[in-house]
Amino acid sequence: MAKKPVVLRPFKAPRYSFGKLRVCKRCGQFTALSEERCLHCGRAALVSVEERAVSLAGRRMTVSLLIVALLTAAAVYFAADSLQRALCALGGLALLAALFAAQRKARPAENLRALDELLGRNIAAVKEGLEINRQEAVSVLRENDTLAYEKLREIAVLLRGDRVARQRVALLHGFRLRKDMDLEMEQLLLRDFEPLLAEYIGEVARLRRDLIKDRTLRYVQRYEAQILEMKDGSAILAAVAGAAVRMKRYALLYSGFISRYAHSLPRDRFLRLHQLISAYPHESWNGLDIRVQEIREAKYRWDPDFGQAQP
Amino acid sequence: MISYVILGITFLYTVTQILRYFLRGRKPVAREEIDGRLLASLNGGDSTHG
Repeated sequence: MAKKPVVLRPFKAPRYSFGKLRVCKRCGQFTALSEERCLHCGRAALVSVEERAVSLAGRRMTVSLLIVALLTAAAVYFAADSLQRALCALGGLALLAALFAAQRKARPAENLRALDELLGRNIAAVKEGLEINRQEAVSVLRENDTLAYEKLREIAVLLRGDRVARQRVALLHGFRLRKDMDLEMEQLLLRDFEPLLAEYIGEVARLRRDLIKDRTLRYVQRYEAQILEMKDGSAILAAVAGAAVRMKRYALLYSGFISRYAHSLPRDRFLRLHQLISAYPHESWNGLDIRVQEIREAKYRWDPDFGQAQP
Repeated sequence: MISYVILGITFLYTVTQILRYFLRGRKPVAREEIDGRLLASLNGGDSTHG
């Protein structure tokens, strides 16, 4: 299948997942998509959940102040004489001032508590909103797969299960990936083996080595046998091994895996591995150093960049 | 007399509110906690809201 060149809009995941969530002030529908209007009622009344929580906390505090003000007014109204009236007014005002000061101090903590309550009380509505978002993304899949991917990418900030990840991997499979794209890796890892994901890992390992981290390396190691059975399986594994040698920690942790594909590493990756082992000859390389020495002797004996490695 | 009773109620109500803010402020909810609970609830984790 010919891969399609695409331009994906830049995407930055928020620090906290609830930063992606918005709620409609009119109908209470939750959404993770960046639409201007609510998908349910069609009104432009979407606000972030944090804004909503701030407004709820503020409303609650205003109600408390109003209760104190009303009770003070009642006390003043029922006062028998002007002395009583003045005392009640002064007392009420002092209480109002004390409550106002306490509220100002407690506001940041109350805002967060209101957010926690808002999400906790409406978790079923949040789930329902995200499911509607997912269906919306799937519904545009045929006409515009790029848009569908962008929508799924937004939903995936909150829904981290295999279902959304699998759909994203399937869509990514149809795209021609580029180095300058906002590529993701760890967020797309699935629980079980998926050949499309393995292919994607291979492409990422070639384009963006920095995205290949612990979880990806563990995934590749776990499904190494299945990947080897794929058409370009060994090339995928060699690309991943090449990405792993960028850090000493990975080279040490996955020395067995790297050792198995060291002979297929491109020259620059093999040189990197060779330099790493030469710089730390006393680390426990678990046989990787001997294997590298053998390959160096066989393939790069006359290459001036490869000095004498210390096995 | 009734106005003092009402003022007393106002006082008690205000003190309760201030005490509540104070106690809640001693054990504030962190953004990380909210985030963790939300993700756990949405993705079938053990941690639940409430």
